[in-house]
Amino acid sequence: MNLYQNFLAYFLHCSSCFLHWSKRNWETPVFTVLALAPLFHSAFAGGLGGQITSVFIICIAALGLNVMVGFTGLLHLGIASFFGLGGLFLAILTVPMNPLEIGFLAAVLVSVGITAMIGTLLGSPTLRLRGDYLAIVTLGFGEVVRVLFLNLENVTGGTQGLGPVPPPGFGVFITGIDLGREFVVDSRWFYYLSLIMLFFAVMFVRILEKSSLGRAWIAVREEPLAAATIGISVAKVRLSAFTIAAAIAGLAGCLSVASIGTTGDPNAFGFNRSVAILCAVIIGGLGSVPGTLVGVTILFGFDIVVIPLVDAWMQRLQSQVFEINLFALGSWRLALVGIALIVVMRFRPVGLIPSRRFAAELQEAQQ
Amino acid sequence: MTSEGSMKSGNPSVLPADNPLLSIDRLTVQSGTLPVIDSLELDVPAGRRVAVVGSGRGSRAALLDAICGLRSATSGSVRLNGHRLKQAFSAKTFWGILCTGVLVGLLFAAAAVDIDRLWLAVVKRGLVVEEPFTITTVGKRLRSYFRAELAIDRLAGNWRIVTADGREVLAVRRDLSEARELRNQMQAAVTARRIGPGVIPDITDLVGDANEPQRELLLDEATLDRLAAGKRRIRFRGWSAFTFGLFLGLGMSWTIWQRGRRLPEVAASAGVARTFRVPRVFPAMTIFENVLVAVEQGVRRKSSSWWRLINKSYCIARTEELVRSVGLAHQSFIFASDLSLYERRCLEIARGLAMSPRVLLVDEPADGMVAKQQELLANLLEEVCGKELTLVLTSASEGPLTEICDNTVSLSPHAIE
Repeated sequence: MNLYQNFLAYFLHCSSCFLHWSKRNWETPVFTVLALAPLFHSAFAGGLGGQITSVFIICIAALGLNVMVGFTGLLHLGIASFFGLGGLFLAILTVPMNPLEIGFLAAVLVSVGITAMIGTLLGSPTLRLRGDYLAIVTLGFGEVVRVLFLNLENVTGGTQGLGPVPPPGFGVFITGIDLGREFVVDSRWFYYLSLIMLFFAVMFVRILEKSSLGRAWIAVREEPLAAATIGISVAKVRLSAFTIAAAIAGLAGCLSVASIGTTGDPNAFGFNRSVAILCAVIIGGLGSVPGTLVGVTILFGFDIVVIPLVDAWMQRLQSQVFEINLFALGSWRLALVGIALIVVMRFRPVGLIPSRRFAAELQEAQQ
Repeated sequence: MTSEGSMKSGNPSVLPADNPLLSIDRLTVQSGTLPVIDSLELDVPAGRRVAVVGSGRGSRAALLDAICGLRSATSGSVRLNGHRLKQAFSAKTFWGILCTGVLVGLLFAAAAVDIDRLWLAVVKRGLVVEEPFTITTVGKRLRSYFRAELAIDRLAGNWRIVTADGREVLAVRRDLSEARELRNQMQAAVTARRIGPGVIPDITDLVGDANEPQRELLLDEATLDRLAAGKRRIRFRGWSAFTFGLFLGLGMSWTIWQRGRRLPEVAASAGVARTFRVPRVFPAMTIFENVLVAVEQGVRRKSSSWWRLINKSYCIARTEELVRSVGLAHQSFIFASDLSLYERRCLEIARGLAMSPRVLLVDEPADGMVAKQQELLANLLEEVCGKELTLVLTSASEGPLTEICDNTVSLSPHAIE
C-alpha cells in the first residue's frame, strides 16, 4: 500500500460514493442536477449558461483559497492575481499573436504548473510571517501583478488584454464536428467543461483534506508550536498550501480566460476580486467545501445571474406599467452584498455551512 | 549514573556518565539581559527518568524550551546521543541556497534589461517580419538584443529601423529590402565605432516639406556614439543586476536557513518530544486525529523512499493502541476541545509518544491536578514509558510524579544581582 494506491483507492471510493445516496452526501444530488439541467432548458445554450459557467469558475478559485484560508489559516488577499496569472500564461501559450500556439490541454497544464511555481516562490520568503503580515504581503503581490499586467504591454497586451484565445478543441474534428466552433457557438460545452473541472477540484480538495497533509494543515492552523514539536515542518506545510491554492486558482483563471476569449482588463484581477472571493469563502464557512460553494453561489450567483434577470424583468414591468424606468437593482447590488455580509456575520459567524472543525475551534476560543 | 544540575557558573560539575543520551553543556538562556539558566550542565543516560525541580517555573520551562528548540540558547549546547540538535549543512542545503541565489539574480537581471522590451525584440519582431520561430532564430534575436544591435520593425505598412529595445526610431522605409540594406549599413557603422574611431557614414534621408525636401544626415556623431555605447550599457545593467540579485538571494536564503536550523521540528525528528504546561492539543481535531497526525509524521520521517510513502493501516493501528494506552479509547472520536485538563494532558502524552521519541520532556504535569489525578498520571507515565524511554519532567514540588523518577535535579534559585 503506498500513497499513490491510497490516493487512487480513495478516489475510486469517492467515485463509488457518488453513486450512493445518503444524507451527508451532498455532491451526488447537486452535481446530478447541475449536469442534467441543460438538457431540460434551452436557455443554458445561451447567456444563462455562460453566466453559470463563470460562477463555476469562481467556485474553483474559491476552493483554492479555502485550502489556504480555511484549512491552513493563512489570510490570503491576492488570490485573484493567481487567477489572472493562470489566465495570462494560457493566453501567452495559445493566442495566434504569439508563436507558441500549443493545444489547450497542454497549455492549461503548463500554466497551472507555472502559477504553482510562482506561488511557491512568493510563499518561500514569507513563511515565517503570520497573520496580518502575510496578508499584507499577499495584498502587495496582488497589486504588483496587476500593475505588471498593465505595464508589460508587449507581453500581456496592457489594458486591452491578450486575445483572441482560441477555444478548447480548436482545430479538433470529431466525427465531422468542429469542436472549437461548438465551444464558441454553444455555451453548454463550456458549462460542462467547467462543471467537470469543478467536480475534480471538489474531489481533489476533499482527498487532500482527509490525507495526512490535510491533517498537518489543520494542526498547523490550530497550534503551530505544538505542530512543530511533533515534527511537522511548519514552513513546508504552509508552503504546500500556498502552492496548491495558487495552482487551483490558476486552473480557474485558465478556464475563465478560455471562456471569455481574452485576458481582458487586468484591473479585473485586482484587490476587489480577491476580497469578493474571500468574502464568499467566509460567508459560506471557512474550511468547509460545500460552504465555499454555497458562499460563491450566493455572492457571485446573485451578482452575475440573478441581477441581470431581475433587472430585465423589472424593466419590462416598469416600462409597461409606469412607462418610465424608475429603479434598477443593478446599481444597488454592492449595497445588497454588504448588507448580506453584515447579516450573516451577525447571526452566523461560523458561516452558512460551517465545518464541524471550525465550530469546535470557535467553541474553544470562547471558553 | 548521576545527573545533577548546577547553576554555578565557572565551576560546572562534570559528571561521569557512560554515553549519556541527552547531554547539556554549559547551557545559558537569557530572558532580556538576565539569565534564566546560567551555565547548566546536565547528563541524562538512556532510559533514565529525571525530575527537574527548584528555581522558578520560568527557568524550568526555559530548560525544556531550549532542549526542544522552541527557544534559542544564548550559549552552550544540547546534544542527543553526541549529535547537536541542529540541522547539518548538506549538499541539498548547498544546492538549494545556490539555486535561490541564481534565481533571484536572474529575476533582477530580467527586470534590469527590461523584460517587456526583450519580449518585443525576441517574439514580436519576429512575427512582424515573418521569420520562422526556431531555436536558431530565437537565439539570434536574443543575442542581437543583448548586443544592442539595430533591428527592423513594422508600423502601418512602413518598415522602421529601430534600436533593439524599440525605444528609438532611426529611419523609415517603404520597402523591406531597402530597409534591410540601410540597417546593415548603419549596423556596420555602429560596430566600427564600437571598436575604433570609425567613420561617420554618408547615409542621408529626405525630410521636410515635399516642395522643399532637405537631405539630412541620419547618423551624426552623437547618435553613433550613443548607439555604440548601447551594448556596454545593457551588459553593465544585466550583469550588475544579476550580481546584486545573486548576492542578495544567497544572503537571504543563507539567513533563512541559519535561522531555521534550530527549529522544534529538527529536535522532533531527532527524537525529542515534549508536552506543555498548559496542554496544547489541536482543539478542532478528534482525539484520534490528534494522535494520528503525530504517528504519520513519525512514520513519514522514518520512511526511506523520497516520496515519503506511509502505511496507512499501520498508522491507524498504532494510533488506536496509543489512545487505548492513555485510557481515552472510549471517547476517541470527540473533538479535543471537549476534554478536561487531565484528559488533555493524557492526550498530549499519547501524542508525544506517537512519534516514537527517545526523550520525552513533560512540562509541569502536576500543574492544576489534584492529588488523585497526580497519582493516576504518575502510574500512566510509568506504564507507557517503559524501560526504554528517557523521561525529563519538571515539577514545582515533590509529589507522586517526581517519585517515579530515578533522579531529581534541583536548579538552585538564581540570584539576581
